[in-house]
Amino acid sequence: MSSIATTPETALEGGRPAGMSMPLLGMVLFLASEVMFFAGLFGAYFSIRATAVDWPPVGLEHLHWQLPGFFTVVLVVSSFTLHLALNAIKRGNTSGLIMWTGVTIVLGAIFLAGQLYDYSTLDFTIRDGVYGTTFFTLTGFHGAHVFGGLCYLVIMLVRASTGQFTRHSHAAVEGASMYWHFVDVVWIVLFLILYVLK
Amino acid sequence: MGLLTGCAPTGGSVESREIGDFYNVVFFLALVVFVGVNGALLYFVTKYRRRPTDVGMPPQIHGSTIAEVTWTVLPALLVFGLFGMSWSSMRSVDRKDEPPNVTVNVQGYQWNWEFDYGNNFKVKAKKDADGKPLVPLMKVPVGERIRFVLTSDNVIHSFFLPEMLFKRDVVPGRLNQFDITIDSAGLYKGQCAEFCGTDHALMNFQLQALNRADFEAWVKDEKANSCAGEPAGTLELASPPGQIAYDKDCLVAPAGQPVKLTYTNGGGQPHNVLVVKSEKERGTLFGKSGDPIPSGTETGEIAAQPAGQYFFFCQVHPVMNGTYKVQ
Amino acid sequence: MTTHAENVGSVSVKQPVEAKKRSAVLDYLTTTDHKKIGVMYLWFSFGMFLVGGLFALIVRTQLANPDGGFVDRDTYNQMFTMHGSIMLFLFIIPIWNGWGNYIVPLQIGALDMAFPRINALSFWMLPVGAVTILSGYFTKDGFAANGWTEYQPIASSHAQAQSPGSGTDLWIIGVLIITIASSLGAINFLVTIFKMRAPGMTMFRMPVFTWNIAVTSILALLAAPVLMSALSMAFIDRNYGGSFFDPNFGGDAILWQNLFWFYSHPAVYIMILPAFGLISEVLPVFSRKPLFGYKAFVFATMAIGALGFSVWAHHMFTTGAVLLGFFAFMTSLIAIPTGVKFFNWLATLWRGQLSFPPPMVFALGFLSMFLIGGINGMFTAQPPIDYALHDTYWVVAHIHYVLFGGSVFAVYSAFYFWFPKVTGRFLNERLGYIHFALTFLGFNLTFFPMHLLGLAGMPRRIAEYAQNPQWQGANVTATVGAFLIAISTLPFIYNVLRSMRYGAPAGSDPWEGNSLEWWTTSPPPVYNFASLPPIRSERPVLDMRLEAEARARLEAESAANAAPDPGSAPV
Ligand code: HEA
Ligand code: HEA
Ligand code: CUA
Ligand SMILES: [Cu+2]
Repeated sequence: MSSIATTPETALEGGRPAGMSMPLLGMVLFLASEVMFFAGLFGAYFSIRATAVDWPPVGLEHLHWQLPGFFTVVLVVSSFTLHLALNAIKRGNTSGLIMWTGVTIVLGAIFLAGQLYDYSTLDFTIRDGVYGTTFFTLTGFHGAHVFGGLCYLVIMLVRASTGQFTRHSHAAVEGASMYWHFVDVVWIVLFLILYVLK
Repeated sequence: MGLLTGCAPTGGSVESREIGDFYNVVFFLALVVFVGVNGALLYFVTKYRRRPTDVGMPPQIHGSTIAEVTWTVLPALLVFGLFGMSWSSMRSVDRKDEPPNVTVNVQGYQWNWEFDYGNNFKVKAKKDADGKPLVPLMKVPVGERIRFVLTSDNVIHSFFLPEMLFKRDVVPGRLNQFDITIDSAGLYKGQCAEFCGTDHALMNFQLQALNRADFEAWVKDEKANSCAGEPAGTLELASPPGQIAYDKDCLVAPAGQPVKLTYTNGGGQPHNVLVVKSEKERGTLFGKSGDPIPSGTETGEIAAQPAGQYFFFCQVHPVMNGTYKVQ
Repeated sequence: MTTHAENVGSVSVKQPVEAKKRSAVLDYLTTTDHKKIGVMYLWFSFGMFLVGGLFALIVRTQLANPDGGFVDRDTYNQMFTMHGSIMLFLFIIPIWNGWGNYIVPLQIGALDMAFPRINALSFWMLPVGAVTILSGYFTKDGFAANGWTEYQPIASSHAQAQSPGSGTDLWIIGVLIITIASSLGAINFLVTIFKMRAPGMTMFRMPVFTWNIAVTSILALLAAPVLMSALSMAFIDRNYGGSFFDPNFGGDAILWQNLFWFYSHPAVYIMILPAFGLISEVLPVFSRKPLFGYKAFVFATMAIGALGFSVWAHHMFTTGAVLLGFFAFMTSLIAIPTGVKFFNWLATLWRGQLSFPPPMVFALGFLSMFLIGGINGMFTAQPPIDYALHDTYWVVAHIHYVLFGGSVFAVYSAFYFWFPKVTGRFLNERLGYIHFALTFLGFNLTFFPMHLLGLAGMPRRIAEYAQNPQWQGANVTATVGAFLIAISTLPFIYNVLRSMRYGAPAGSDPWEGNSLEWWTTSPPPVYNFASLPPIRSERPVLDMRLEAEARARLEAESAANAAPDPGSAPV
């Protein structure tokens, strides 16, 4: 035979171009699809808002931004703490990873609790016309993503405390941090268009 | 394919001939592409079949820049040309620069049509003996510009005049309109073209184009006939529970004597009833303005009126209305 | 086929792993092997084709008579809704996922898909989605009934008096499951194609089928989530009192259409691009020539994919709510890259040595039938003409010429082409020709008259046309054709079932193929390849075959004692 004898394994390895690992590329593509999901929601929001006569509808005040603003800061800080966690494991520092992931989880939980509290202060619901519908759908889906992220982080925490991550093998942590930053950015956009934009 | 030209659409309106002509041009181009590609296909398939005498591989041609550029550019030219024609035909079909002679407000509902000509004159679907709605007929003057204004209170319908090669969607929350000049008299069919639920298939209507004098005579007749019956001194009107409707769109009362009116709201929706001089003037003869009742009965008296046509409606739902006729 | 007698001799034809029936079933249920998952996709989605076809037969039976009368109007609406939804979401999209699953790792010389377990998950979500949609039958009002497009606000809450059924909710959930599966599948394909190519397999040496799956996956990845968001909104409207789509409460009735078509136009390219890829594999093999203009072909695919995102409103020309000029122009532009593909295919045939086994016959059928579908789409792409043709049977004709004349013909071609690879045996040729003839005839009989009906103004989605009895002739013709199509599936099904056991053994490379799937045995081993040839062009297997032939000729010249050709079979 004139063929170069390659085992399946080397075929695989050799063909793999340098760069992102497969799970990480998978995460990037997943986030691309998440972007499109939120793009659909934002598109709906803007096309409805653009044609609305009164926004918010007569009888409702513009949303207060102060308290949600505070929780926004909490969420942004949690992005930094998760970044610190990632940096820690990149240096092989597992206890740093555990600590900063824990802090991130606490901050994320505070954010979620804050959002629920914010819901309880509102005097409209998802049923009260399109204003309520868009508000609760957008923030609700974002909240669900935060919740999903928290679950993901808890799993990371468990895996970290059983020593499954090392300096060279921590793709899952990297994926978690990408996802968390994404959720964070979506919130900033949401905060701006729902609470700040008049 | 040849069959398709035989059926090439020609219509009864100025606009539809525009569309039909454009269709024919596109059809011709399409035929050229179809015959060209399929002709080449058949030719190659017969000419280059593999023969027992073939030795070795055929020439391994990987491509040709000139050829590929050619068959990118030629279709591109075709597409640009097509777009130009599309654009100009679109502009003349959709033009709204002349004021219309007649405006018809078309209301689509599940599952029928109502044609409102204004001035308290509208054509509704009549019902047959079993209460099944009949196909409503609208008439318009021939050779004049007609504007159709399309509204729906519920779901999307589409106002489709096949012989005019035209349709436009009837969208709730949106005021679509189009102008058309029908220039050959005749009876035309129309139908709802957007799926709108169970009886979508039955949303038919008819349109008759006729000369101005006949059109005006028809309007007069319809107005007179649309509300007919024995005048009575006590009248009853009701709204079925949960519905946005009255059970009657016509009340007939005797001239020169006061009339007792009893209105019953079956509940579920707030309604009221106001009887007024006419849709435009609104001098109230009966009912309290701005005071809908959630359910129950309301009774009152309408002072004696001279013979003529009056109007009644619900303030909460202006689509609920009818004629109060005194004779 | 003829030249491969020696190949058959040198390769041991592996029997399908059905030795022990029970464990084989269990094996399939728990497998993460891309080939087995691919095969399950094929069984599942072809089954769905039959179910969707059954609904179509009910539709056609009803329409044979102007008064309908076969089923009532509500049922009729459920029938075409289920027909369209099943054919698109559960047949034509998944079946290409099936072929992609089976073939793409083989074509790029990979061991498996990048994430085998996610791959199994995306497959198993499909039956779950299918059951969810079809379980609507057991609800009070039956299946969903608003068309596969589920236009709002007809399907949303405040109009619920008209559309109360939980069948619609089940439809929404089912389609949601299917779209999630399809985005997961897309991620898997993209990572596989980007990361797992064999040494030497550069992007521009990838087989065109793989290229098309890659572009298809990008479309699915970016478009499907928008449908998910729209479905979520519809679900909220129906069940939690939301009002996204209800103008009476501040919503927007047209919004759904924008979101839906933003997904569904790219989705029609998800249904056709793999078919384009398949045709681009079949024509070169049976012309014994390379694909004419490989690079142009790849760029045309990308162009179609990119343009696909900017044309969605051509489904909405009559809403009066869209920029007609822009969308008409972008839509017509798609004819250019598609034309490039067509002319390149023709040029591939030009001066070739054509042979006509069933896969080639179906591929040629594709060329002439999809052409009609593309061209009648160009009519509706012109807004003034669409004013007349929108939502008439012309559009139904378009749908089926592109989807049946296009995608389904290509699916059949793929079956005849790759069946020998999957099972190690040929499908019977004579039955194949019978299958083709019946399908071709039935197809044109069914769908060509629909052009005439469309021009005559017959709207789609109507259960009866008592006002227009003059439409009956064309409708009856279509009904007869539909039953002919149904009959045409019988020789095919028989052929598959029979040939799995008794078909003629095919050997590893029965058609003198070009791409890597023909390098390994038929069926391929679990690990796909015992060895890989050097990859120096987009036709590595052909390169090796030519090399072997050249060596054989040399040997024959130098030595009088001609040794038997070892062939191009792998060791
Ligand atoms: C496989 C699926 C598929 C494919 C590939 C296409 C391809 C195309 N479609 Fe189609 N389409 C559907 C599936 C598909 N469509 C479906 C399912 C619907 C209905 C949805 C519903 O409402 O239920 C629909 C509806 C639809 C509409 C809306 C009609 C209406 O409701 O009023 C329009 C309008 O523009 C349209 C246009 C086109 C065009 C221009 C192409 C082009 O991509 C075609 C390009 C190809 C060619 C033109 C042929 C080859 C080219 C040449 C040989 C070059 C030279 C030719 C020229 C320059 C003309 N399609
Ligand atoms: C890939 C896509 C695809 C395919 C292959 C088909 C195939 C067929 N389609 Fe379909 N069609 C659509 C996609 C497709 N269709 C879509 C998207 C719509 C729009 C829906 C909407 O408006 O919402 C549509 C709409 C549509 C209509 C319009 C309905 C209406 O608007 O009122 C009609 C009418 O004739 C029709 C007919 C047919 C027929 C006769 C076939 C035939 O090819 C079918 C051939 C029949 C078989 C293959 C059956 C064989 C099986 C058996 C004999 C029994 C075995 C049974 C079991 C084991 C369960 N189709
Ligand atoms: Cu109204 Cu269809
Ligand atoms: Cu489209």
